[in-house]
Amino acid sequence: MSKRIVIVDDSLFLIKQLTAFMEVAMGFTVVGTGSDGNQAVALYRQHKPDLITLDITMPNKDGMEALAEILEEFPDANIMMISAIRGQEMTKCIKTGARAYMEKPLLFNDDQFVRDFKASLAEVFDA
Amino acid sequence: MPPTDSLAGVLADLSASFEGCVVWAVRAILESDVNVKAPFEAICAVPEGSSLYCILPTASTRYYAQLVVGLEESEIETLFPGEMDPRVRKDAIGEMANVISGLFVADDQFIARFGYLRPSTPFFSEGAFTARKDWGLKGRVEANGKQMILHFSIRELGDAPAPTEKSAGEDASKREGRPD
Repeated sequence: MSKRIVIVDDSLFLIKQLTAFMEVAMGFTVVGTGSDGNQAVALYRQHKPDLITLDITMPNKDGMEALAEILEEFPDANIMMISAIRGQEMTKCIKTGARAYMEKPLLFNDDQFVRDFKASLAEVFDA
Repeated sequence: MPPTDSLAGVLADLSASFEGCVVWAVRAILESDVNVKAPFEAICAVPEGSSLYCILPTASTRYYAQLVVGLEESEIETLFPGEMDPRVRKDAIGEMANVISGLFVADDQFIARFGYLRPSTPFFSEGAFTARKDWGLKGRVEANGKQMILHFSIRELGDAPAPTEKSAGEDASKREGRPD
């Protein structure tokens, strides 16, 4: 049975790109997508997926708030942050409990990036 | 002529870094070659000369900055030849702004001068676009045969005055009559 993933990002472009990669290349099933932190929390409660990806800068409720809220209710949640923000936000997310942090853009045509992405996924599920 | 105040000087020193961020991000998002058509330079001006603007604010308690990507709406389809959905094409411009801004505000030299600025979400403005004249970096790139203007401006919040006519005038007059 394939792993189930929820993708949350306010960018349709990113959702489309990541959905295609996760389903075709990684064999995941995308069970839900959302565009803000409120939807992230609701989708996590609804689906309890194997993995949820969160953008940081999103309207209404950002990814940092959603990360904390999901982990408070589901401490074992596998959460991967995917953001264009570099630096201290990454450290904050990992300290809060995110299992991985990937920087945008997602270069799925770049072999090295794909290797790094797969390595991050493996760390999430091996943890 | 060299820039006329310290902020302009700092920005001029950051122009190569900004250009590098722009070229890398545009190439990554569009998966296309990118040519710099107008070199990035420090300028005190409002964003203008396009029919569609993608605006990405970035701020700290001390500074407000915004990246504006200006382009022709009718050309977005050509910029993204492989994407059929017009919503996704437009959204990709926002993602491009997101990546450019994320890279640039994480630049060591930028952080040393301005500290950490947190990006917000991008939004679009069609046609008229009102902005105040602030110091920034502006240049123009071409990808897939179409051009985009990239304009990153920054100002100090609080009591800091807007740029004076004296400091702004040189670039403003230089801009007059020059198509963007």
